[in-house]
Amino acid sequence: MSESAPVVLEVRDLKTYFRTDDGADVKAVDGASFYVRAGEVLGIVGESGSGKSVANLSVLRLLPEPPAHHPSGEIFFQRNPTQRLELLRAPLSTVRKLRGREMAMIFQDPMTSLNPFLKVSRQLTEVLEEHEGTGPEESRARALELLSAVGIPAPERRIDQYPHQFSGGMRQRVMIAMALMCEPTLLVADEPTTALDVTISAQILDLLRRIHGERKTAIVLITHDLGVIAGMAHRVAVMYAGKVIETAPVRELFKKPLHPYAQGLLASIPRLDATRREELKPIGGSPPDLRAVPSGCAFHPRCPHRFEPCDKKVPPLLEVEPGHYAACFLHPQDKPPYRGPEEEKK
Amino acid sequence: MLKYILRRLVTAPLVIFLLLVITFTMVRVAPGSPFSSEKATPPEIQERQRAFYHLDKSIPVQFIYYLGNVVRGDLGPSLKYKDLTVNEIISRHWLPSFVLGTTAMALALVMGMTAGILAGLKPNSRWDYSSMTISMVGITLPAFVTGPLLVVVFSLKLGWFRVSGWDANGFSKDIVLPAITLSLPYAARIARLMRAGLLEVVNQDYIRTARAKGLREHVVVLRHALKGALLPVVSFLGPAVAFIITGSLVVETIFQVPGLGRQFTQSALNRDYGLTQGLVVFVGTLLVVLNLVVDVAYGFLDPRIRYD
Repeated sequence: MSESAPVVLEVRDLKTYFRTDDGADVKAVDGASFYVRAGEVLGIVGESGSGKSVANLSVLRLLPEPPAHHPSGEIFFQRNPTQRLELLRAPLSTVRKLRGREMAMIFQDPMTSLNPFLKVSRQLTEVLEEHEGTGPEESRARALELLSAVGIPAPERRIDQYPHQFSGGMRQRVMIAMALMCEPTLLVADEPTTALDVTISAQILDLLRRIHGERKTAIVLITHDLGVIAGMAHRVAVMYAGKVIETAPVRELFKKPLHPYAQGLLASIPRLDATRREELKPIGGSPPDLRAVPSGCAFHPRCPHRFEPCDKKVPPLLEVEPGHYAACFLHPQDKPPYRGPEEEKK
Repeated sequence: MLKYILRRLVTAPLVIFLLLVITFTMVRVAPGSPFSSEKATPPEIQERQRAFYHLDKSIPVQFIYYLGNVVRGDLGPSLKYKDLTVNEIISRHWLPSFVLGTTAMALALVMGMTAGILAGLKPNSRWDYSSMTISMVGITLPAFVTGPLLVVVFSLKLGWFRVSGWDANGFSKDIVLPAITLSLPYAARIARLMRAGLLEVVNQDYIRTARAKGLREHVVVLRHALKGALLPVVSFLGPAVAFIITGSLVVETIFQVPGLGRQFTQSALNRDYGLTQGLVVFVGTLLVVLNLVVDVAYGFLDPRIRYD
């Protein structure tokens, strides 16, 4: 991916909190920053509750506000070479016009994400009809074209069926076709393969890779599966307790993870070439309660290397090696801080 | 689908038969008889009356006589109205009840669905609280309170309507107050079911998908949420329609509507065995048919339901 491609989406210091009934805030996303360039695939990895999904739902403003609110943050979306929109404070009506048309989303569970009461044709064509005012016949032709592009056999017959007549993998293909109806510039895929069988999930990833190859759509791929990231992403952002704690080109991260959490994630992947003696090394402890995140570095209670400052100060995200950022006191603290994509270019 | 409907129609008579056995026994087990009145009739005459209506036979034998008539579509004679058969009474009185009932149901649907949808879309809002409070009042207040209240305000104070009475044609402004009175509890139930259904559906993943597609909010609600949210309302409507169009004793009494509801209650009080049984069969049949309609409607709403 070329370093000079325009940035399609930039999230800066995003905080998404959920107000609870007792007035306390659940800090689902607590100062996350990441960006995607045109034609690039950004992988976002993290455990359940790390804030990866919430961060991206915030991008599309799909969270009900309240209880969700954003104490800080900016989300910039490049609509075209001249128009850059800040989404977090834009009126919802503006964001709505972007959804499905310029930024589309694929969800985790294709069993529940399609409307069981409506035919597949209706669910596909309505996207075009809403955004481009396309007539029914033209929309249907486009839907058929996309259904066959995502590998659904006999689309002329399948298009008039209901979601329950499709298998899980086929439904996810329908979801992908739906997301592509308006040729969006950004595709957010939220754990698109998590709910599927291993073989089906490989097929869906293949499909996403092919779509990316053909259409050069920028993709944010959210997953907890590092294998998925390795096979598809150009860059990775690792999230923990609502923050990005490490971000780097995918090779750099796999070769030399800098944050102990990222190291732990990589060490916990089963390897085929490992001898039987080598055991998997799980990360001890469990993810933090987001109502009471540990002080300092949120990972410190589980960290094997923790030392003096870890429970007192929050480590900043620094460029430890060129293009490779990590937020950890184990590394020299005199490095330049993360400043987003614009700075990187200079 | 057709096979399913046929199978249901085959089992329907069984349901009605059981209903008949129960009512037939119960009205006879209840103390008193159709011929007991304040003026004591001589025992010999009572005997002859009983013999005439086969009431001197044992209950199983009586039942067989009765069943034979019902199968031929004859609900038998009324024991109180000397010259009238049950069939005649039903055909004379069903129309006012039907007109009043359908009007009230239409009103209830419009009011209930509007209030329920608005409340369900903005849960815990001021509109939600006020409409749900009103609907709670609607469910709790009996017709003998709301009916006279409406009469006091709209007939006595404002003079817009007659206090009571029913135009023989059925279609006059006489219908307004009884229809409103009758519709209130139904509207309240529909509003609450609609709200609950909508709240459940709105949290489904596919509604988030619809929003992620950038659909306008009214498309999300009307196209994506409403069908699923209607299911509980539809299952309530089946029995509700059966009861509302066969008349309400209280509303028909307050507003002097010559409908079936009054006949029903009067027949039970008079121990008019024939009329009570006949009306139970009539309402029961309607109920069975409307429940079948609901089950078929379910299939149209939810494509996942299969009939086999």
